[in-house]
Amino acid sequence: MLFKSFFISKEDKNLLEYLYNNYKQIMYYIAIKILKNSFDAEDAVSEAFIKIIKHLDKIDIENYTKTKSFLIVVTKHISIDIYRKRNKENTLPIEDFEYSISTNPIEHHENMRDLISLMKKLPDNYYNVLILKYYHGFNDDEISKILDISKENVRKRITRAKHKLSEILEKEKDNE
Amino acid sequence: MNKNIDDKFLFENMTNIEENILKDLPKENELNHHFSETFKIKMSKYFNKKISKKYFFYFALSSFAIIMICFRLISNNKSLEFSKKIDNKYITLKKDNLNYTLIKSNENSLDILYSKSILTSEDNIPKIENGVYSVIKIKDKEINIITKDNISKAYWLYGTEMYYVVGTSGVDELIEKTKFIIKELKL
Repeated sequence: MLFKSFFISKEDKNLLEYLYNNYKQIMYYIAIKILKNSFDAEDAVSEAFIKIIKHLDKIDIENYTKTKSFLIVVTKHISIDIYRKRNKENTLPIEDFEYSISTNPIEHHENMRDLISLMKKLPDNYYNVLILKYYHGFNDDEISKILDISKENVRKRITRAKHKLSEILEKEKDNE
Repeated sequence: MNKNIDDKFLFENMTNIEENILKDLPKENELNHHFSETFKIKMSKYFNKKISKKYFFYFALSSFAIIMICFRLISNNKSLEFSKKIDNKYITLKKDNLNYTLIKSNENSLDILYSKSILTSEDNIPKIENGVYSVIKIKDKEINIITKDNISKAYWLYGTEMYYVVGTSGVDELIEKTKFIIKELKL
């Protein structure tokens, strides 16, 4: 991992350039939604690439959606980190970040639409950990390296995310 | 909606949830942020620095490469090597013992991706879970197409080699890419 931070192969460089050419716009879109500042958002994108280089083995170039999802998770994670660092005096607890991507409603199966709206109410740091585990299939060790948190913390976040989801679900039921 | 949020539930549903959420995001070509010169210079320096530093370890990497070649020969790995580079138009990536080739469709973009391998078994045939399968003809070749949402793949046999092309914006784009590759590689 340390070796990869400093030296990369020609193939990895090509892969990195491919990701840069094809995904930098969406990464910027995610970063600006969180940071609301172009300078900080560009900073987040460049830091995200520095992060991604350590995890190029996790990129499945054939799977566009998974690659996009992975890059978005990393960008969101870095952006939240920058946000916290630059707003030290007025820091929002990380749990207060709502899933902040605006979406246009599309026709889904009713149940799936409920699930999606449920997930959007989940704070980003919880959503990220669920995506890495249950969509990308990474284990706790891999997630801890991607998000720079301990394995213990990964497990805690997953448990809290599930609780939070159940809570949201309960609230929804009460409202019905 | 009455569900228990457990591992089974999340494993079953996260793929659909994430793919639907991603679908709602704008497409890369709909976004046109003009990155600052500072950003471009920073990224360019970063990419180049990574490569130039590598030469300090040239000897070590060469030795590693020799070991890997020996290993490949011993294990009789049949994945095909791509070395074809014409005017830097082709760029090769490597992943899971397969070489993927990107083709520059214009000066600034590298967006057409295909791969090929020797057909040794059914395992080589690309699969997309719950995908829709169809067959089309391009230049008398039967091209198999699998699609699911925005992910699509085309594959066909050419001699004993199997080519496959990856599409990311629907079937029409995939067919255009496939036609381009057949023409470009004179298959």
